[in-house]
Amino acid sequence: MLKKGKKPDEDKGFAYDRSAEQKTLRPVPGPETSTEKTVIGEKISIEGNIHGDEHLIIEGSMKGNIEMEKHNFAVGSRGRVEGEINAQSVRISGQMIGNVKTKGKVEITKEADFMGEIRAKSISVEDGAYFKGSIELEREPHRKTASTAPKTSEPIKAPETPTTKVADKEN
Amino acid sequence: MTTPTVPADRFSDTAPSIGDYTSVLLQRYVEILEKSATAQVLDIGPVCEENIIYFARRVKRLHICDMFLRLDRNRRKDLPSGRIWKHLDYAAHSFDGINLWDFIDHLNDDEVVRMVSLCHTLLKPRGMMIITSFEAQSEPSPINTFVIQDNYRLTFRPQNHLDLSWHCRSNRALTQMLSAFAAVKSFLYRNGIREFLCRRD
Repeated sequence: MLKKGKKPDEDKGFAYDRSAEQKTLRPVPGPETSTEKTVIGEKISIEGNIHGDEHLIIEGSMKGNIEMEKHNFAVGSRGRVEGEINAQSVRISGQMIGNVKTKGKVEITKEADFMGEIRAKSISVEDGAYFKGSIELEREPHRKTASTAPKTSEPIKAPETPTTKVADKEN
Repeated sequence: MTTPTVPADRFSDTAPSIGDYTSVLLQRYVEILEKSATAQVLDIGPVCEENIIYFARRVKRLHICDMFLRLDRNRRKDLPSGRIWKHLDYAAHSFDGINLWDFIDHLNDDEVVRMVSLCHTLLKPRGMMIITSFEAQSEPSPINTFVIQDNYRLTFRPQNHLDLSWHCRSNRALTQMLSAFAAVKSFLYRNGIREFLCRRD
């Protein structure tokens, strides 16, 4: 099922029964543009790319790329997505295979089964998430060693010859 | 590889009571990784938000493959143990560092040999591997994540969704299993936790 979060009479050509409004419509909190969302229901399968200007939740299955740089994207707990995601923020609770790019936050919940690459400003991951992939976050700029090190792909060298030590006190 | 000079009487059959501790080897390991602008690290799990953020902020790219959860699922489904290795299908010489945590405490001897061999393959020459291992654990004992806090302090968070057996080993047995690596440093803490920092030649 495809559910819309905005008032139906705002869409031109959409037949709208005013009497039904009192029964079904509820006030939408906050700015309208930020609360509009589309939910792709669990019985819907989509193949193809999506470009969007409102938030999107996938509870069904989706194969394709999703481009919504200024809006949020979520894979619901029953959702399955295979593709590349570019969104403002991303929340994954279902199955997802593919890469995620966001200037905001990525949230991986414990129900998630994720495989792919993540590039984000920040991330949260719940214990128990089934996760295989890579994560690139903004590196800490203040760390001296990282900023002064030469850029090289050479392997890292250990500073000392092998030694062994036993702690004689609790740290 | 240098054999650690841990007196045999330091090992006992009683389960140690673990508490927070400051990891000397984690500090050494992280400081080495931070010197590279291109460091790639593999964390074997369990998935832990604090550790993910900690390493992802300090290395070029952090790779996660939660082998604890995969091993748990494998055993619950009674699948052949060899099937878990397919998840570590990375190219040879991919990583500058591997965080093994206490994963080997949940593997039998044959599996440890396989795991260590895989890590050897996956590490770049002179890449490093950090391993934590308990001296002893009574069963059933909860599986814990080693959670990295400020100043290299490690705390523990139970992972109740994991049900894995324990295979605690003597210091000598462990070092023999790691003989393919050069030992950089190892530490035994009073809470019964041992840490090994190894380097691939």
